[in-house]
This record gives sequence, structure tokens and C-alpha cells, in this order.
Amino acid sequence: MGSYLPPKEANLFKVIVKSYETKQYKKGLKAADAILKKYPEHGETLSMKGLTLNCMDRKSEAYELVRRGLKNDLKSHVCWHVYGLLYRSDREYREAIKCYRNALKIDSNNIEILRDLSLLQAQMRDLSGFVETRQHLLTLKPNHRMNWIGFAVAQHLNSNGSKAIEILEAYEGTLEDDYPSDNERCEHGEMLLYKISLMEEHGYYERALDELYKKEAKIVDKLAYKEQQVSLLEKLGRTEEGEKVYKILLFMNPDNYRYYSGLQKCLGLYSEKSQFTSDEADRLCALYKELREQYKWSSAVRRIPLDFLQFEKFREAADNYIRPLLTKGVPSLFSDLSPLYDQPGKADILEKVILDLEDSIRSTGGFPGSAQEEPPSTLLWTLFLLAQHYDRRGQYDIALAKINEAIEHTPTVIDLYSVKSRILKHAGDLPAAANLADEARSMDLADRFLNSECVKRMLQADQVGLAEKTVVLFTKEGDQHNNLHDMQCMWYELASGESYLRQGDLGRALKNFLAVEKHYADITEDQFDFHSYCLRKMTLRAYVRMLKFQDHLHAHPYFHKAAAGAIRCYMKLYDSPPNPQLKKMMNHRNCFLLRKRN
Amino acid sequence: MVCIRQATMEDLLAMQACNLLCLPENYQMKYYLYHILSWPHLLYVAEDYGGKIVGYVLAKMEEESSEGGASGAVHGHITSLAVLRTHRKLGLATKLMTAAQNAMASVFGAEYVSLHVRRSNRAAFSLYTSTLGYKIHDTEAKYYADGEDAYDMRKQLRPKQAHVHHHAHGGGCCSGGEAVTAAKTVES
Repeated sequence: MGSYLPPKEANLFKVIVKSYETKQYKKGLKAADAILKKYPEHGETLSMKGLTLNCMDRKSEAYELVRRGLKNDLKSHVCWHVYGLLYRSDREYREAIKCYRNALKIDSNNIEILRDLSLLQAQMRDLSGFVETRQHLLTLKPNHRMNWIGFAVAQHLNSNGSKAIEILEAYEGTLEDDYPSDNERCEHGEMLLYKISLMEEHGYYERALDELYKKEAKIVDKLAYKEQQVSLLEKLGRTEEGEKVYKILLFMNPDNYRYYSGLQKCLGLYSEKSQFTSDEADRLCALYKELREQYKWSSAVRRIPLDFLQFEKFREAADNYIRPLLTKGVPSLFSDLSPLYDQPGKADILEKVILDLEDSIRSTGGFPGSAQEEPPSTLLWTLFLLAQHYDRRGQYDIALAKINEAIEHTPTVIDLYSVKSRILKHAGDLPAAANLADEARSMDLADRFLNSECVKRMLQADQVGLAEKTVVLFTKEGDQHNNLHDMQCMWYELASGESYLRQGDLGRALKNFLAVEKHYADITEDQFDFHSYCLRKMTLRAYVRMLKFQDHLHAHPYFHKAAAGAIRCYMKLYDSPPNPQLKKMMNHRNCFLLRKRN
Repeated sequence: MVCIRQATMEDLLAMQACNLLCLPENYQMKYYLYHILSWPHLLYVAEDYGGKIVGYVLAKMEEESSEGGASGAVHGHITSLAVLRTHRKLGLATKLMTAAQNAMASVFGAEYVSLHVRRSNRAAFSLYTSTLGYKIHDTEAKYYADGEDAYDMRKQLRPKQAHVHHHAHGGGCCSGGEAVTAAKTVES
């Protein structure tokens, strides 16, 4: 479509475009050169040649050619579009948006450019612009499903949910009665669930529930259906119905704690901090007794009451809860109980319970009041639990005595060494902690978790070289550090950075912290392909949640640690720069950091 | 002790961290995003009492390979499953797998579910065969980057059917559109 070209060259121009789309860049380049031989200043050809070179990693030539092409043909939407694509490929989205807008001034109904523009607007959260572009696309092609959905999502993101609902209902109006066909049922169901969630978001609870019931047959995802239903029932204060739905949900998955707290809310028995009157506690007891009979295999029904029971009732329940888990030898028992240590008085009671168990096993070989003899491993796991208990309470000597006795009892259980390592770390002996972790690691070389734990301890003890040699045992052949970086192994980079910082090696510390920063930039960038993908897949609820997640991405703890670490490095460098040259560089770097915040 | 629930966006970074701690096959965040934005129903996490993610299952749907010509039929595939060593003996892997398999069958009408496992990974192999009912379908030589073979294992989720009747299930859906190209990375 190159402007002002005779037929032969116009055909060659089509070859360039085609070659670009099919990634046959050499062929495209040849065609471009053939045109330029006759018409050396032809703008669109220069632009397309630049775009092609950009794909062949010849960036500076690319920019030069694209700019020259544009200068020669400012009225060409092709030249502007190409300029936009070039910026887009370099993640310069704001500049790209400007170029697309210029292209649209010349060819306002160009669907391809409008679509490209809309993706950039979504990425940059230019929401009013996004709405405008999606509306334009719908007006041009109202027979495309994606255009209806895209316009609705744009309105929703731009805080106009009621408009979004209207658009989705108008879209439904265009469908035949027998819609959807079998292969579109799932997608259609997702659209309906999205629409209903919009109604909920905007406080139209009654209407949302009506719509949900009306469309039940068309909603394939029955779990989402039930969860949506119960959420609406709760908001409407229809707690009796809510209670029934929660019981169905628990039947589907008795290990989902959210259903238990939901059920408690419906019964007026919910408290964020598990503080209840004695009457409420009695009612809760009765509730969980009933639930225990229904969901025998769920551990939740036995664990949750420990949160709200007090004093003697707590003691009794804790005792009953702990016994079978010690017999079975569940290594995570302590971590399961540990939130209880934040409640006043419960740690003391637990201590008494576990010590009584220990005493009884030692003296009688069984639990108190039980005729059944426990296997030898029960003492081992009791000691294991006690060691962690004393560790939690800061009594490291007793903790070490208990874990040492456990190791003596059965020297082959790896978990014992891991826990001993953790106690030593808490007690402040970092090199000994690292040694113990290394011992645990050497007991099962195929277990990456043990390797990771060991590396973590080594870095805490500032044994960076050793840690490096150990961590790469599990990375792919060849370029090992790059593999950890490519796989976004942030815990390792953070722990390395912190160790280097402690050792005053600011350069290496910064390198690690900035590596983590780079991962977050990449994750932000990852969104891009999904703006169009999700509209096609119709996974709209997930898509909108993803955008919200991305908007708060930098609140994640890993990023905080990396940012704080990098800032510490920069301040140290600024306060005592090794040479004046560096100070100059620091000023530049600070600007970089400030810019990041925008 | 541990909550089993569908994964949310906020869980993805913790799932990635859990994967990197436990397993030698790792993925970039984009691959996790690709899963949750394609099949949000199939990702489950195990969350301990303190809110920490201690296990996860990452799964997807695949179109039937076209040799039989029966296009439209879909099956599930377990991309990755991990439980922290500290949280073994709780049956978490079984619960996570069961949750994902149920969703594959009920939402997508999957006929079977497949997975790959290292030949040397006896613990995983016995979980899949004796607890979960998978059978060896094939062996793939040198499937893993370090040269180890993989068992291609399968579990039937519903009886094989020559003809799928209308409205018998919600099968063959959610398959429109090709995958995000850049997200097509390594699979376990």
C-alpha cells in the first residue's frame, strides 16, 4: 500500500509487509532495498526497512531509518504506526501512544492501529483513553464479540461499572436464544460470572442474585457459582440460606478454612481475634462438635476450636489434638500450633500439656490415661516438638538439650538437624547453624529444599562463596548463576545482597538488589500479552484481578527488601564515595530511583 | 492444619518461591500468569495456619493431539506440584491433586489427566500410582534437562467415550485462541 509507488514497487512493498509479519526479515530487506534503489527517499519504505532492521538487532540504524522515513512522509499513517511499533518494542509506551495517535489523525478508522493503541492504553492505565478506543472499535465492528467485551471491561476499569453491566446486557441481547453452543459454554459462563461480580461490586446484590439464579444452567463453573451465591446471600443478610450454602461448600472441600469462617459469620459467631463471650464459645463448641462428625477427615474441624477455647477446655482440646499427631510423627505440628503462642496464657498451657505427655511416655511408654503403648518414634516427635517450643520461648539451652536428645534417639531423621540449625541461628551462632544445615543437606542430596535451607544459612553466616557453590548443585548445566536469575530466584538474590552489604561489598550487594528490581519490572511487562489474550479467553474476572494485583505489585515484601537494601547501598556510597567520579554517577542513580516511583 | 483453596493472583509469587525452594524445574512469573489467566479453576494452594504457602498445584488443559482427528476433546495436565519438606505427612499433595482433577472434570469435562515424573523420583511415583491411581502411559527418553527419563503418566477421569452426547457435560470448552507465544516455556 506504499503511497505514490508504481505497480512493480507497490508489489515489492507488499512483500516487505508480508515478510515482516512472517518474520522473513532478509527477504523483506531485499525488497526494501530494491525499492530504495529507484526511490531512495520513499518514506514508508524507509520506515518498513527500519522496522525490519529492528527485528534483526540493528537498533540504531532502525531508529535512524524510521525517523527519516517519517520526515519524508509526515502524512502517512504507516510511518507513524511503524514509529509507534518501534517505541513499543523498546517498552517506551508513552511515546508509542503518541505515535499511534498521530497515525489515527490520518486514518481514524484503522482497526489494527486502534487495537494496538488499546493494548498500550490498558498497559499504561490510560483508562479514559482505553474506554474511548474500545468504544471506537465497537462502533466500527459491532459483530465481534471481543469488541463488546473489551468496551465493557474498559468501562469497568475506568470506574464505570454500571455502564459495563449495560454493555454486557446489550451484548447478550445480540445472541440467539440457544446460545451458547457446546464449545462456547465455558466462556459464556465466565462472561456471566463477570457480569454478576460487577453487579455485586456496585451494590446491586438483589439483582446479582436474581441473575445468578436465572442463569444457573449456563454457568459451567459450579464452584464459582456457589461462592458467588454465598457472598451475595451474606451481603443481603440472608444468613440462614448462607449457612446452607457454606455447608455444601464444606462438603465439596472440608479443608478450606474460609468456608468455616464464612459459616461462623452466618451464625453470628465470628471474631477476627477469636474473642468470644462464654455463651458464644459454647455455641461454637457445639457447632464444631457437629462438624467433626460430618467431616471426619478434615483436620480443620479439630484445629480451629483451639483458637477460641480457653483455660481447661483449651488444655483438654490441645491434648486431644496433639496426641495422634505425635504418634503419626507430623513434622509441621509446631508450626501449626505456633499462632496460638500469640494468645495470652496458651503457651504456658501447651508447655504443660507437652511435658505431661513426655513424662508419661518416658515412665509408662504411653500417653497419660491410655493403656495403649506408643511406638518409640512418639518420644522422638515429642522431643522434636518440645525443642521448637523452647526455641519459640527463647530458652535456647533447653531447646538444644531436647533436640540433641532426639538426635541421639534416632540419628537418621533429617528434620531434626534442620530444627537444630534453626535453634542455633536464633541463639546467634550463625556458622554452627550453617554447618548443621549442611549436615542435613548431605543426608539427602536429591532434596532441593534441604539445599535451599542450607544456602540460606550459609548466606546468613556470610559464607557467600560456599553458598554459591552449593546453590548451583540444583541449577541447569552451563551458565548457572544466570539460570537462578532467569528463573527469578529472588530469595537467593536478596540473601546474597544482604550478605554482601554486611560485608561492605557494596557493588555486589547492589547488583543483587537491582536484579530483584529488574524481576518486578519484568513482571509488570508480563501483563502486556494478556490484554488481548484474556478478552479472547474470556477469563475476565481473573484478568481484572491480575490488573489490580499488578497495580500493587511493588508492595510485595521482596521488592521492599530489595529497595531498602539498594537505598542503604546508595546512601553508604554517597556518604563515603571511593572517588569523585562515582559521586557524580550516584547523583544520576538517585534520579533513576526517584523516577521509578512515578 | 493446612487450608486447601483455589490460588489467587496474590499467591503467585509465593507459589513461585515454593517451587524454587523445592523443585529443580522452575518457571518465570509469566508462566504462572499464563496458567491462572487461562485456567484459574485449576490452580490450588496449601496455606498453613500462619498464612504461608506451603504447597501448590499448577495445572492446565490441553487439546487432544490431532492424530485421531477427534478435535475438541480435551484433557488436563499437571504442570507442577510441590509441598515443602517441612509439611509432609499431611496428605497435602493428595488433596491438591484431587482438587485440581475435580475441577478439570467438572469445569472442562476432561477425559483424563496426564503428568510427567522423573524415573528416579520414587516418592512421587508411588503417590501417583498407589494413592492417586495414575498408570504409566509411556516413557519419554531424556525428557529432563539433565538427561533423565520421564514417565508419561495418565489417570482416567471418566469412561472413554466414542461419541460425546450433547449437553452431557461442559466439555471441549475454553479452548478458543492460541496460547500466548512468549508464555510457552518449559513444562514439567
